[in-house]
Amino acid sequence: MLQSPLNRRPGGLPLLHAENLTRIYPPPRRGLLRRGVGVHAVAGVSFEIHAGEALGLVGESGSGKTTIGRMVSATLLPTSGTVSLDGATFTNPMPLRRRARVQAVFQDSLGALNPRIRIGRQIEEPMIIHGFDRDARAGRIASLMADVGLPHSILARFPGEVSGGQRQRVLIARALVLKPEVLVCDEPVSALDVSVQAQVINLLAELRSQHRLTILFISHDLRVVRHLCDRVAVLYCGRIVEIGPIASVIDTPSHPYTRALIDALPPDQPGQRRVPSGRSSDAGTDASTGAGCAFASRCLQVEKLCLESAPALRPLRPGHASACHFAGTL
Amino acid sequence: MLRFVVFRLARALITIVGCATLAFFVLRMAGDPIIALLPADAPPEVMERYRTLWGLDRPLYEQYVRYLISLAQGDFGQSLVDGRDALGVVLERAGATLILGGVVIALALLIGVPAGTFAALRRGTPADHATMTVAIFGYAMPNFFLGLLLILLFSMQLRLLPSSGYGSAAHLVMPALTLGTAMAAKLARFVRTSVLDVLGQPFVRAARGKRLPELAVILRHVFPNAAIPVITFLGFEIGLLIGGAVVTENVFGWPGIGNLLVLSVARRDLAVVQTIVMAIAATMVLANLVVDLAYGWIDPRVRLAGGPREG
Amino acid sequence: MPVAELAFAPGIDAYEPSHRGEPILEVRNLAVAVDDGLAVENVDLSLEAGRTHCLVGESGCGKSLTCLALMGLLPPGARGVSGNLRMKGRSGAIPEKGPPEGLAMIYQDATASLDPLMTVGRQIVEALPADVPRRARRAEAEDLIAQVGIPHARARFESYPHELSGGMNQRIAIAIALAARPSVLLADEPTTALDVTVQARILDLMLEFQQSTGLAILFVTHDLGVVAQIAHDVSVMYCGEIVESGPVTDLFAAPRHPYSRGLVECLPRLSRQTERLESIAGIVPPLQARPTGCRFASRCTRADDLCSTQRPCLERRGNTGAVACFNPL
Repeated sequence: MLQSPLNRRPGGLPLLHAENLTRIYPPPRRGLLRRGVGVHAVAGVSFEIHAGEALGLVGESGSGKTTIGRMVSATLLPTSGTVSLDGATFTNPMPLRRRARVQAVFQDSLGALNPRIRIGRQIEEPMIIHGFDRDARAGRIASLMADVGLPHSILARFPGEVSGGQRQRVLIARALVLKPEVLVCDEPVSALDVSVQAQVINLLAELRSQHRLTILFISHDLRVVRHLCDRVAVLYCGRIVEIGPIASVIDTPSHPYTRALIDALPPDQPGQRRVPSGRSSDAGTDASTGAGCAFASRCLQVEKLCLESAPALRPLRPGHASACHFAGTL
Repeated sequence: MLRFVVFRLARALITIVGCATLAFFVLRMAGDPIIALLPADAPPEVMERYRTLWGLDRPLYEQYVRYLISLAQGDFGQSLVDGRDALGVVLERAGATLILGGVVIALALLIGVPAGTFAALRRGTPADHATMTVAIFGYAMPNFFLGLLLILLFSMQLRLLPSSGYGSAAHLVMPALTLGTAMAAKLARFVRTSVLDVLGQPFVRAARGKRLPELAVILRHVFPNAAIPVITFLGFEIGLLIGGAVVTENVFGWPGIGNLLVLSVARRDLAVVQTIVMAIAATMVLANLVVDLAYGWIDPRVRLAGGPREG
Repeated sequence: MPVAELAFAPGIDAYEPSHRGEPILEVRNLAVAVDDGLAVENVDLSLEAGRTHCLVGESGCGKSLTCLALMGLLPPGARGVSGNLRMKGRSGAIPEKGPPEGLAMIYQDATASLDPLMTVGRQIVEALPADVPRRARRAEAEDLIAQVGIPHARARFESYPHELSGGMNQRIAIAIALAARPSVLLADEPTTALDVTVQARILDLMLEFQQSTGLAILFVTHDLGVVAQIAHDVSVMYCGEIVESGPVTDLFAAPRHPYSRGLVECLPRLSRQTERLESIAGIVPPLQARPTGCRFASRCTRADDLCSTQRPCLERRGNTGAVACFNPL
């Protein structure tokens, strides 16, 4: 799989480097011995994120975005491929110190917090594990609460007693408590109401500029990604089909799938005609299928070549690459 | 499907042989059967003769291997009491227990399911509370106690029913009530919970939104979905029923397997006890198999995952 | 709780559509009581054939409850409902047990709203009107499956919900709703759980049906983007009340209520990348702690003394919309 030159930006080495990430989920057992073929949730995904940069990862459900997020946050081992931070590859087990440099925030804020432990204790816990003393912990929590805009009184509450938006801030605070360099956010706002969603997006943007946080932002919503990210990678069936600067990808999408995603978005204003939607088959989730392009069965511009060979990710412009045989002519 | 059946049969066999093995060793550790069987003043030579005759003088592992070999040949051993084939002794008592068990399950279903459903549909009303209070009494009452109460009332006071024995429907009434009350009560509570759970599901609301008659909503949508946990529960209950039957059969002198079991344990009738244990294990395995097949029949999701119908 | 005992704010003369014939469904003074108070209050709605009315608001504002109340399907927690429903000229109280004829609904989570143990085909058949003869029912259901864009209708009739994707199940849910041949369709966030591409196709499908059958749709959503795409008219709900109502173009071009404006502004948009998204400070007050005055006052930048003591009513402003605000924009 082609990679390095196409998504390297000028300005030194990337902070985080995912190379050829592949994850195969074992198939369900059928009978005593027989096992089916595994599902390729992610197949050969490579990308780089520079310090202070925010990379968006968009795709439909089943496209493998959560799996990538878990591999990058070192909560899931890749079947093959590596993730490295500052040139040091993730290992299993990973030294505590290095593990603390990448933290994650997930969508289900209620599920990610223990309902029977007070919020303050849950934010504090990583620091206890990492051996901070009491004063250091108190000081850090005070400054965090200010950073994420939560009142101090919330520390004594239980997760079930606070609103969804506040819980999401708690998760962000907990992720930031060890001052990580990379924050992986998996759909952190999709369960929130619009007004609260905007608050959390703004918070992430502020944190990013204040603390020079590097963010991998996973979302199904290109509109949110546009607000927060510098670059975006579009996933389809476990592969990156397009990657590039956010404005470039949205203004000149170079893969039919990216175009379909953009066209499917509701308009910003009433009366703006949306293009009628494409083919009515639903997305696949297995990256291992067939010889041709995985998107061929849904593509409106499909050609004979698309059914015969799978297109590789190729650079179109500096920093912008697409995995479509006809990327240049779209 | 074939694979599924073979797999389940193999597992059933392992379970049953395992139970027999356990019974085999526990019985032999529990005391010398010769002492229990022969008169206390029997001369030592006689005891020794019997010991050799029944192979009890051999090392334990040898006895066990011999036992397994004869099992494989379909020989369950002889009753130490009268020398008859142990399987035959057990089978002639099985009918009585099956009749009692069948009537009890029917009784529990006929009372428990409507009562539970009724309570769920009238949730929070006095009718619900009354039903559930009765149910708590029903299953809090120990078997033997309820049995004795019934005997006192119907046999001693009212002289309506025979206090023990076998042979007519009148004989069946009290043992069936004794066992059935607790099961019906537990079932009622379980059905209530299960029906309430389903009533809260979005698809029941959607069914009501179709302007269906309420009865159709209950019969077509609520019952099948509520049945899934209830079937699991029944599977367990059938297992427990056998334990209850041992007590009840003895209270009412019902000539079933439970009655035989107590008798045979007291007599140290090794082969018969082992055979009964295997019969009970086989019943539970069968009940489990029926439960699994019932799942597949009711729930298409299980049908897909479980194997009988792939793809 | 007897309906008559429900407390009401003073009656209001709300936004009347000033165009196109009789509304097909009119709701007046809908109120739903739950344990902690009135979760929905003073809701007036009017739906017209061939038009989509969007009900927008954040979670907990009572928009789903409004739909369920109209369907006579209130959850067990609801204590009582009052109000009037006028449908096709016939008026009466809000139904308490099941929907009136001509009203059907698509629910939020399609997969959960389908019985997992019954084939989707039978679930459609069940929803057909009683006068469809027994022999024609299956064919009609297969027809509906094909109409909602599911290929191999005959084979799909026998499928169970778990064998279909979320998008497919939503199509089945639409087929079920249409099977009743409704003149009014209530849709409660029917696309919220779906991927954008699937959402787009489902919305197209609903639009097609509306164009061919003249269906009136009440569409509940929290997504202003979806509103922009499909709505003709919009009502914005906040804390159980409608705070602004009018044509969709007005809402986006010139929202009158500060809350509506906040909602429109905080929508992230593809066409512009601003430094900060607008957001509405604070959170929705819980039902037990609703303020006595305007319920939005504590989050509102335009609030004055009057707002914290008196509750504004929904009043007509100009000739198109209505707004419940003392200091409208």
